[in-house]
Amino acid sequence: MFPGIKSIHNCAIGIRTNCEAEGRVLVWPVAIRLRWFWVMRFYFTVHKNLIALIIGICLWANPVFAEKTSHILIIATSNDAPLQEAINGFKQQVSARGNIKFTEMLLSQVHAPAVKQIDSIKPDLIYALGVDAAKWASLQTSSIPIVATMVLKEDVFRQAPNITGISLGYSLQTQFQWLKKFFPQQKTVAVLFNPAENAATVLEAQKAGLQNGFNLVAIPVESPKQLPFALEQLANNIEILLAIPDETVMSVNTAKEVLLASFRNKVPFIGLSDNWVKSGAFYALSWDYADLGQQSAELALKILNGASIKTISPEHPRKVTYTINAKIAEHMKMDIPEALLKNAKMVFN
Amino acid sequence: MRFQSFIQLVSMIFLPLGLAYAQNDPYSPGGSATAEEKQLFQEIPSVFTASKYEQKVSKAPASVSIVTADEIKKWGYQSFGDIIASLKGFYNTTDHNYGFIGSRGFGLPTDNNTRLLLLIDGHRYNDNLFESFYSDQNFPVDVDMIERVEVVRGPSSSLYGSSAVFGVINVITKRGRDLDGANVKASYGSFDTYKTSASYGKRFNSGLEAFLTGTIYNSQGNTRFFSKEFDSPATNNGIYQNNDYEEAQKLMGKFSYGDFTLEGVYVNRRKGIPTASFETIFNDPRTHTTDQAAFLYLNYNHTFENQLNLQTRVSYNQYNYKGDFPTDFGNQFTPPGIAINKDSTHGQWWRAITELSKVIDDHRLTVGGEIQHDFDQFLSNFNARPNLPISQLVSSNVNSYRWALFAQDEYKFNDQFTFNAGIRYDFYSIFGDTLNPRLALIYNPWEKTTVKLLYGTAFRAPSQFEINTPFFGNLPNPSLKPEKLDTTELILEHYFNDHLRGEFNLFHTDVNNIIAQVSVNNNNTQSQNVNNAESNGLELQLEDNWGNGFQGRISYSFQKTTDSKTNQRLANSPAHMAKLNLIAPLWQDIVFLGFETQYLSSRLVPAKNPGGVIGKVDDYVISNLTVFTKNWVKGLELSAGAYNLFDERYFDPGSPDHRQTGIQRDGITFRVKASMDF
Repeated sequence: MFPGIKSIHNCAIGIRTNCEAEGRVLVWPVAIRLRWFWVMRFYFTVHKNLIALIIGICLWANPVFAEKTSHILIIATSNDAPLQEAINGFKQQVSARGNIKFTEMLLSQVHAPAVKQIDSIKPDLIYALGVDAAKWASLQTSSIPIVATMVLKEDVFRQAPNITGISLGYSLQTQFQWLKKFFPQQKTVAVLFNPAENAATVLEAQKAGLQNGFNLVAIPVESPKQLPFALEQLANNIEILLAIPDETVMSVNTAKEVLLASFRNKVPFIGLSDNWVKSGAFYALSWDYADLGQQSAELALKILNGASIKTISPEHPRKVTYTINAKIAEHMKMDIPEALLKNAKMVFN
Repeated sequence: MRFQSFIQLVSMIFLPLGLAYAQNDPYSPGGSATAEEKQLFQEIPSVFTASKYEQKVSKAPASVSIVTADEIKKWGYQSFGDIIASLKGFYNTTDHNYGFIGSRGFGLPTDNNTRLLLLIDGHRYNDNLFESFYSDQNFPVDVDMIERVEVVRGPSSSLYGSSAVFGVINVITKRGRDLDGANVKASYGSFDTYKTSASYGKRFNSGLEAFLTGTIYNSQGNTRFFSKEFDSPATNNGIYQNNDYEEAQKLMGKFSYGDFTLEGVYVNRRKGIPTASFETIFNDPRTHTTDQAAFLYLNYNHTFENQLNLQTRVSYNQYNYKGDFPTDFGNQFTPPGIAINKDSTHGQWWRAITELSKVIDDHRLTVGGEIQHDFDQFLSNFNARPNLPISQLVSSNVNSYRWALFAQDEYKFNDQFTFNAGIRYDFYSIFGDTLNPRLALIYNPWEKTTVKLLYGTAFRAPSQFEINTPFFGNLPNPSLKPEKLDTTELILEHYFNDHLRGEFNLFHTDVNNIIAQVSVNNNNTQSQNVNNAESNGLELQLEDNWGNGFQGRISYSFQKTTDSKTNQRLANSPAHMAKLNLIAPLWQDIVFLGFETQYLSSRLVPAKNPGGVIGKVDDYVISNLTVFTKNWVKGLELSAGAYNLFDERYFDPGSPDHRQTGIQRDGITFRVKASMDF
C-alpha cells in the first residue's frame, strides 16, 4: 500500500544503514572507526594488496566522499494496483544507481496540513503517475523535471517544458499493426471521436490505417446526445470499431451504449484497457506496469545524470501486451489464432 | 382457484430458487467471481422501435419489452404467439385455424390482429386486405431466425400510421454475421410435428453480407379433436378426425452491401380446420385455409458527412388467401346438397418510405413521408360443386392508395427532463385523412428512476375485407371510418440495482368507432362503426438478470376493458394476468432450465347471435419447461421441452362463427430439437 509519506534513505549499495526516517540511531561513524582498525591489522599481517580496495570501501562509506544523494518525489493519482506496480518497477530500476531518496505521496493527500509541499521537499525529480498527478506537478513547478507515466493522452507532455515520460497510449502504427494481427481479413475500421478533442489524432489514424491496409471511417460525435445516432452506423458498413481516448465518447457513462452496439451488430470493439475488455470489448492493448515503471526510471536516470529534460522526448510503452475477451469472440463467431491466445496477458472466458 | 394454483406454483419455484440464488449470490462471501463478467452478456436494455432509433428503454416514449434469440432458445418457444404471450399485458389465443394476439384486454375473438402493427426488420407487414398478420405458423419468419423482438405498447400511429393502436412489434431477424456459416435445425414433437430448417449466412470480406434460410414445418395436429357442441352420433360423437394438420414453408433472404439492403420473405401455410366453423360440415377433411405472403424490399441507408441520415425503402408486397369450407346448403341449391364455399383473395401493393433524421444540439429530429399503392385488392367468395358451374360469385377489386407525412422531435431540456413529440398525417383514398399525435414527458428525478407521462392517439383504417365483405348477404359499406384510439399512460421505471428493474404502468384507453358486423334490413349484415370501448388498467413487472446465469421476470396486469354502452367486459378480455419466466443454469454454461408459467382469469364468450347468451371460459394456469444445452460439441445445441406441463384443460373463447363456446387448447405436449452450426 501507499503510505502518506515514506522516506527511505538508501545510503549505500549493498549496505543498508539505519535511516533517520525509520527512527533509528545513526551509528555508521562508529562502524567506520572499526573498519580502520581492521585495515591496519590486515596491512601488517595478512595481505598488503587489499589496501587499495579497503581504502575505496572506506571512501565510499564516508559521506564526505560519497556521491550526492538525489531526492525523487513520487506522486500518484491513486493507489490502484497498476500504479503500485509501476512505482515498484521504477524504484527497483532507479535504486540501481544508488544515493536516491524517495518520498511517496498520494495526490489526494497533497493538501493535508501535515504534508510537506514541494517547496519544502525540494526534490531533484518528480515521478508522477496518472494524468491528474502529472498536471498537478506541472502546475507546482516549472523548474523541477517531471517524469510522468500512466497518462493516456500525450497532451500532458506538451503542457510544460519540464515534463516528459511514458504515455499509456500506443502509437497508432502499433495499434494498427496489432489490429492486422487480430483481423487480417477486415478492411473497414470506424473511430468515434469528438472533433474538438481528437481531430488531429483522427487524421493521423487515417494515415496509419492506410499504411496498414485499413480504411478508417471517422464518425464525429460532438456530444453524448449524438452517440446513439453515431452507433447506428455500425449496422451497415463497419467491420471493426477502434477506441481512441476521447472524453465525449469513451467514458463510463457511454460504455454501455458503445458495448451494446458492438455486441448487437457483431462489430468487434477494440477497447482502451483490460476493464473495457472485461466489459465486452474484443481485445485491448495492455501494459506491463512494472516495465512502464522501469522505462520511466531510465528517463529519470538520464535526467539525474545531467541530461536536459528538453532533450528527452516522451515515449510510448516499449513492451506491448494485450487482453482478449474470448466470450465476445465466440459470440461474434470470430476465431482468434492460437498464438495470440497463448501470449495474451489475460483471456476472459 | 386457479390463481391460487399460480401462486402456489410460483412459491414452489421461488423457494428452491431462492436457496440456489443465495448459494450463487455474487455479492455474498465466496460467491461466484465470474458474475460480473457474465453480466456483460445479458442484453443491456435498449430499443430501436419506439422512436425509430436506438435508445435506452428508459428514454423510449412507451413501455417496452425485448425478447432475445437467447431467450427464445432457452424458453423453447415454438411460435411467435408463444413469444408474445410471455410478455406482460399480452395473451395469445387460437381457434385452431389462426393465432391471435390480445393486448391490454382487447382481443376480440378472430379479429385478425388488426390493432397491432407487425414490422419485420422495420418493414410494415400487415396486409392490404385484412390489415392483419397471424401469430401461428403463418408468421412470416421462423422463430429460430429471430435475433430480437421489440414490443412497444400503446399508440404509435404518430410514427407508423394504421394498426399501431395497442402496440408495435418489430421483429429483427438474423444477419449473415449472426450465423457466419451454415446451420441445420431439426425438431420433432407431439402430434407428429416436425420442423427442419437450413440456413447460411456470412459477412464476406468484400463487404457483402448474406443470409439465406428455409424452413419446412409439418404437424398432424390433434387427430381426435373433440367438441362437446357436436357430441352426437350424426357428427361422429363430437370427434373431428385428422383435420387439425398444419403445413408451412418459409423462405427468407437478406443481402447487404454498402448502404443497400435487399430483403425478401415468403411464407406458405395450409391449415386444416377441425372446429366446423361457419357452419361447415363437421368432420369433413376438405375444410382448410391456405395463406401465402411475400415481400421484397430495397433499403438505402446513408449518413452524410454532416451526420444527416437518409433512409429510403421501396417494397413490393403480396398476400393471397384461399379457403375451402364444405357446407350443406340443403334446398338453397338446385339440385340440393353440399357445395364447397370458397374464399379466394389476393392483394398486391408497393410502398415507398423516406426518412431524414439528424441531431441538432439537444434535439433529435426525424421527418419522413410514405406512400402506398394498393393496386390489387381482390376479394371473392363463391360456391363450387362438382360438375356444376360456380354459383353466387361475390367479389370486389379495389385500386386504392394512401400517403402520409410524419415528424418527431426528442428534446432534452436537461439531464432530468426529456420531451418527445410526434405527429403524423395520413390520407387514404378510401376514407379521407386522419391526424395522430404522441406526446411524452420523460422525467428522471434520480439516476435510476424514470417517470414517463404519455398521451397519444392512433387509428386503424377499415380493411377492404370490412368495406367489401365478400359473404352472401353482406352489404358493402364504403363509408366506413377508421377506428380511433387515445391513450393516457403513466409509467414508473426503477433500477433497484444494476440488474433488478421494476416497472409500474397505469393506463386509460378509449377506443371509438369500433368496426363490427351488424344486422341490417332483409337479413343482411354490414360492417359499421358501432361500438366504443374503454380500458383502464395497471401493469407491474420485476425483471432481473443476476449475471450468474439466472434470469427471470414476474408480472401482473389488471385490465378492465368494457363496452362503453353496456359497461360489460369485452369478449376474450381477461381481467387478470400473471406471468413468471425463469432461466436457471443447471451446469456451468452448458445446461439451462427454462421455465414459465402463466395465469389468465376467465373470459367472456360473445353471443352466437344477436341477443343470444354470453358464455364464459374458465381461468387457467399453464406451465412450460425446457432444458437447453450447448457447447457439448462445438456448434451443437440440443433442447427438450414439455408444454402445458401439468396437462391443464383450458379453452379460448369461440367467436360467433364457431358453435363452440370454448375452443379447447392442447394438453401436455413435448418437443425435442437439435441445432448444428457448420
